[in-house]
Amino acid sequence: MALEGHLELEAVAGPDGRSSLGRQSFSAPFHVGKGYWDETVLRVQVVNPTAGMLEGDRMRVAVIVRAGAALGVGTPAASRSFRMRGEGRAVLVQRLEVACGGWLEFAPEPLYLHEGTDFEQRTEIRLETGAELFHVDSIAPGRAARGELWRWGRLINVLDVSIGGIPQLRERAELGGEKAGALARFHGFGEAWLATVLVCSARPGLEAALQAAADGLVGAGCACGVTRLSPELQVLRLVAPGGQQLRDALAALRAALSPLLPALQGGGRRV
Amino acid sequence: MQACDSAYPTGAYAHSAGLEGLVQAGVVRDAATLESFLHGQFLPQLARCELPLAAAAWEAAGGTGGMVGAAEVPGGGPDWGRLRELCLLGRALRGTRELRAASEAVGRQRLEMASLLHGGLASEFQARAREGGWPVPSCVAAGVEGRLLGAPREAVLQALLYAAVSGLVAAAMKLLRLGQNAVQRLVAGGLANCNELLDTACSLTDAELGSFNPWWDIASSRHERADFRLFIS
Repeated sequence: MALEGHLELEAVAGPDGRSSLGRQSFSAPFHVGKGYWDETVLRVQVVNPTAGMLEGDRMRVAVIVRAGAALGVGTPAASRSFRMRGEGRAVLVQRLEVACGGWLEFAPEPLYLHEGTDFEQRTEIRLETGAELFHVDSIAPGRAARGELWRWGRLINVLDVSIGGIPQLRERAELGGEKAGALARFHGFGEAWLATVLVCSARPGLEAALQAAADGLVGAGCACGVTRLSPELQVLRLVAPGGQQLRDALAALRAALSPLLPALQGGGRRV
Repeated sequence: MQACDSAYPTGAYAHSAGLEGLVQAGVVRDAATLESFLHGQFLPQLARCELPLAAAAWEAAGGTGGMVGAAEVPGGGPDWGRLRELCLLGRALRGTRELRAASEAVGRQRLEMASLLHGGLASEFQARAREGGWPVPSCVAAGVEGRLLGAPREAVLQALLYAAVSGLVAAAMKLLRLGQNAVQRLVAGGLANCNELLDTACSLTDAELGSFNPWWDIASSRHERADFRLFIS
């Protein structure tokens, strides 16, 4: 039976500067672990006890960070979209909003697309001017450990980012696994783990730090480039030749940025 | 014909649509890899971004009621709100700073020429874009210019497609060892499925626009900081 699940989180800042969840609501398959305040960021783990998306599932995620609040949202394990046999595509709609003075880190583990799956993910990020964000969207080429590469049916992955109501970035992938694999091979990658990292902040020094991090990742065997799309918004695109390299690359990126973005110091998955 | 001639001063010759970055990365290295890139990546991206935006801009420039300056535009005045929306979306669809800057430089130059030669709609659009701080992607400028010149939508899209393909292979001639015959064969091949591409472009809604090619974006991002380069983008 297909599920219709939702996850709603609203982070607010208290008078003492601590962030807390002013509101939370979720239904199966989502479960939210107890948040903890690491003296900088309220960290929340979102667990999907069913382990992934099944045919016809409809999921909705809404995260709001109010002014002055800092929220980190992660997942303890990879997301999965399983094999589907009928017409029922699984759909995940995510809407992330950050107010001026708010911080959101949204960095779930990679998405694994199983053979024959049909998955649509739509992510809309709305930032007020002065909001800060670290967002990671990463995709595995399949169940690589089993030798299953580029065998998914269809992926639609849409990312819309706006700042102050002005559109800043629209990416839209509509790819079958076979086509994605051909694209990767054309660019010299058999097994390509893809990540798009958005960094929104006006703090000085970030552009140089991101460029240095990108150069370091290229030296480590990844394809990587960073571009500045607005005074605040930078995008780092990363292609790693394996899952461990992707994890190492994202950990290295966090380490490189955390002196400038202290909210990154406490988060991240152990690698 | 004048607006899509290579002598028309839009400055497009100074850009390679990200090709130079891919050549520097060693991915596009000869006629075969260029052909594969053209058909597998370049043309699909045109069909899902620039061409539908140009079509939408052409429609919006014909628009719904209103005046252009003191003159009434046949079929109603431009839908300026929609044109602004298309300009912003056109910028957002470009994934790197360099490709955005290239598109906007060409778009502004095209608009400047159209305004100089024909005034009217182009001048009004230029004034509104300046006043409102709108970006002017080249495809939106081409759509508006085509409407101003009275060109049918299909002709505008065909011209845009031809300019994009011929511009890419012209850049490739400077970056790769390609002969004239190979270049013309690539252009002919690129235009062979013109109707199919235009049909796709005209069938898409705003929500369906967009593309995804991290390698192309990475190559363009790295080209932004390359020590040596022949093209601006």
